[in-house]
Amino acid sequence: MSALSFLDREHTIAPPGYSRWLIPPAALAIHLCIGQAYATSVYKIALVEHFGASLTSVGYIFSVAIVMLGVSAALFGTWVDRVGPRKTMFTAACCWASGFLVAALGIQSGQLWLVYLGYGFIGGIGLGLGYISPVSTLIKWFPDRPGLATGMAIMGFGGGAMVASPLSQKLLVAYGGDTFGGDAVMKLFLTLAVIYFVFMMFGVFTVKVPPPGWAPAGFDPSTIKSKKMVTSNHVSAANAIKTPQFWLLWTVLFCNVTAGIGILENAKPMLEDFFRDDSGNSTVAAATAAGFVGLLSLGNMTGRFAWSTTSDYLGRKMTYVMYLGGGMLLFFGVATIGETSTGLFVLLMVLIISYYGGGFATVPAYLRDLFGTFQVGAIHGRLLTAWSAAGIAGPLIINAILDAQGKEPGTLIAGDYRSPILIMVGILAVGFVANLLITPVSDGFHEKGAVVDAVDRHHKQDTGVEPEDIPIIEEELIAQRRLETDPDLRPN
Amino acid sequence: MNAEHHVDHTARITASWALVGIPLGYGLFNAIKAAAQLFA
Repeated sequence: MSALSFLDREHTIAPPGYSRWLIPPAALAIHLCIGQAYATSVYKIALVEHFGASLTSVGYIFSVAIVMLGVSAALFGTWVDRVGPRKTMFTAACCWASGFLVAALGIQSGQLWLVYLGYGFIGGIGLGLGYISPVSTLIKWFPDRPGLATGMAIMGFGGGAMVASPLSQKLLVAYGGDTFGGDAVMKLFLTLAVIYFVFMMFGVFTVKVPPPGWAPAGFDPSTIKSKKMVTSNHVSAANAIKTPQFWLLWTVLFCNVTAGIGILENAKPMLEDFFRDDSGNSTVAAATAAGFVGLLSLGNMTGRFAWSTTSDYLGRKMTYVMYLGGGMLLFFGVATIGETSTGLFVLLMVLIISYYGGGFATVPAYLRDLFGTFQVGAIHGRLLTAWSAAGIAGPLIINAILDAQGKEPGTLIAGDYRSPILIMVGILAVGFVANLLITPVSDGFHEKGAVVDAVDRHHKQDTGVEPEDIPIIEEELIAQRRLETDPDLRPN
Repeated sequence: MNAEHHVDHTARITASWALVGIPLGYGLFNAIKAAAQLFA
């Protein structure tokens, strides 16, 4: 076990002068890999033919993975905060890579359940751990710009699909030609397991936690304390889920993701169905539809970074007013005037998807504002159950209403989408109200004693300083004093 | 001492961002190439 002690949080404390700008690439290395989860459509049909299964049965592989993402993030969030980012990233890499290996075995042996177990269950745990692993570390390194920090990392999740999609396509053709089958997918999974494991190890060996009392140069903690919606106190994960603020934010995320994911899943057929000629044929060329999907990927990724960064200036609550209120207007626009022009339809949809991505990237900073940094990773993990629930609810609502029209796929028209889209407007309205109801967490939920994490305990052994004796309220001031007196602690 | 740290980190930061930036750039290039078909 001691061979793996380099993974311990205590052994990942940044030395003096370590640059915080090394942490976002470490986080990106993880998120770029696990973002592959959104590139499964590349080999979906090949798996359907290989197993002789339905599209729905193969679609369950992705569904199990997303459910496991939420479940593992919720169950292991406290462990993640305790053991630190390096051990979590390492575990995530092992789960993610071995998930591919088990799934490859399932394809090779013709056992679909092994693919559920590998990619869905084991890989899904890797997804959950990988997703939350860098969040609290980034927030601690960037107390002055938490939205920017989490935006950079979570942008990688959107970018991961953009990388995996063309890469997988090329590898599949290389392994199986233009009409590749299950054997090529099996080889693809083996290749991805190796590539992703190696790439994630870069994140594992680069990530470090800041030393106790560290603060960025020129950071003035009083600017945080002066903001009404940003706390300088700390709430534990166990207490956070007892607060109305947690459940209001859960509702906000659930509504934002439900609306976005429902549209994202049906974006391409929607474009084709919205624009049909009198004889019922779609006027949208295949190349245009492919371009639309590419543009949505760009909107998803840039929205994560741009809107989350903007939230540092706009405030988290106002940013969600924009996502949900603006989203309602955009959805209403798609339902009412979306069919008038392809350009307008595309513009509205790209903005919707950018808000969807932005909602994911901004939520960790919102949690930090409300609950402090103490167990923000664990609280984030619990909140991600909203994503799992929305991943089921969003497509279900859209597909159930479209199915109820009794039409075959390829014969739907713009009017058929009006009801489900207006339902999404209603769902966004619920999230909008929930966001408005969010207020600062009451004092009764704040940690009473000093908040000490593993880094501070280690620091005590080194220096004899008793961090337990430091009142929380003065932590930032002490950090400033250390910076002023100890030149080695000054960051580059 | 601090200057040495700074020089070392600049190189490491550049290398680290390049390592994640190159695949990200590859994905971006392909997405933009696909999106460009919309305006062709």
